[in-house]
Amino acid sequence: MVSQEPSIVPEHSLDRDCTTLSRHVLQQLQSFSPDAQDLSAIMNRIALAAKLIARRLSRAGLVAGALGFTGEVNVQGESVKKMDVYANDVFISVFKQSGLVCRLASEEMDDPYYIPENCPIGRYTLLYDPIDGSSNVDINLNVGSIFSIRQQEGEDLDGKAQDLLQDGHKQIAAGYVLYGPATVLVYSIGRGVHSFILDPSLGEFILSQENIRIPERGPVYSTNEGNFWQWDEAIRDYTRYVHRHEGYTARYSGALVGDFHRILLQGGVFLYPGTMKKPEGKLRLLYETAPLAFLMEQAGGGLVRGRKTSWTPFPIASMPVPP
Amino acid sequence: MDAIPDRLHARTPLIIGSREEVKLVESFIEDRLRREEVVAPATSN
Repeated sequence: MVSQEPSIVPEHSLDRDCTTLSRHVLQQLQSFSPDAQDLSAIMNRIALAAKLIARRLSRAGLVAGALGFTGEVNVQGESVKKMDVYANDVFISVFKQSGLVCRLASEEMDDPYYIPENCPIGRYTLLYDPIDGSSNVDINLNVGSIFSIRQQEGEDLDGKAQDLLQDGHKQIAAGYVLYGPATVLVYSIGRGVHSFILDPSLGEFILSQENIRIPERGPVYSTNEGNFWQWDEAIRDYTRYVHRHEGYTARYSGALVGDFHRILLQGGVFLYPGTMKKPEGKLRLLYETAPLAFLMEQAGGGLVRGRKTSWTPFPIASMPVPP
Repeated sequence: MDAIPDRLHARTPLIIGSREEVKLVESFIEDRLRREEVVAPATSN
């Protein structure tokens, strides 16, 4: 006979434990259509990649070939870290036989990886930054992965993926994984922003927060002030303002995902403006900026748009000479 | 969200966050743009 005594486990807690990532995607879409199932399966594969990367990161100081540089330079002109290569390959392996995507484009690869003809080919493209903030790996600080899903348009017969050169509104879904004290996956399919935490005992991402809304205001400004004298005067004026007014605090970890996550939950602003040396900034539009902008828009936040961020209105000559 | 890349690895500046904090940053940018517009005609004469 079932006891009528109140359960010691709150019902909502059990409900939450049962809300896995793939189930949540289907709930969001309110459909079991092939499209919904594809999207749910893609998210499931991303979760698998995240688990593999999280496992590697958790033992990075103990296993050979996990820390340090490969000795190669990527398309961005940056030294490639071993963990970058590992994480990049994880995403390819996870999706290669999935039948869900036709291409994977990563900031670590000069050109997209096309699913071989002897593998099942899907119609989506996964764009990703496999390890964001990889310089943090060697010192055991947080890093992340960023992803974006777009549908292929056209045939891409020349293999140049020109159809990806479109604005962020073409994204079907976007999100990131934060490898911190807990491994957190945040995603949106255009219906709010939701957060999941990897429960190591279950091996599943379990719903943590639904419909995250960024506070209208926040005390944190997050930027690399080492570039202060490289910035345009407007950004330097803003920085002087927050220095001189109470209530602001600086937080900058060097890993975009971690800094963005803090801003998303606690409010504030993240800035990576152009500099005198790099007027276009450092962040990659397709692999970093567009996915995070998609999430921020869904969370009710703001971003500086259009020419205001291009820095073209400000001639380089007007930049100050460092004292 | 509106920016269109001209190549797969295009970069872009990013200023993002709470609406009111982003507006504050924008106000400094707008102010700078206004000053540029004021200066520009004068220098072209």
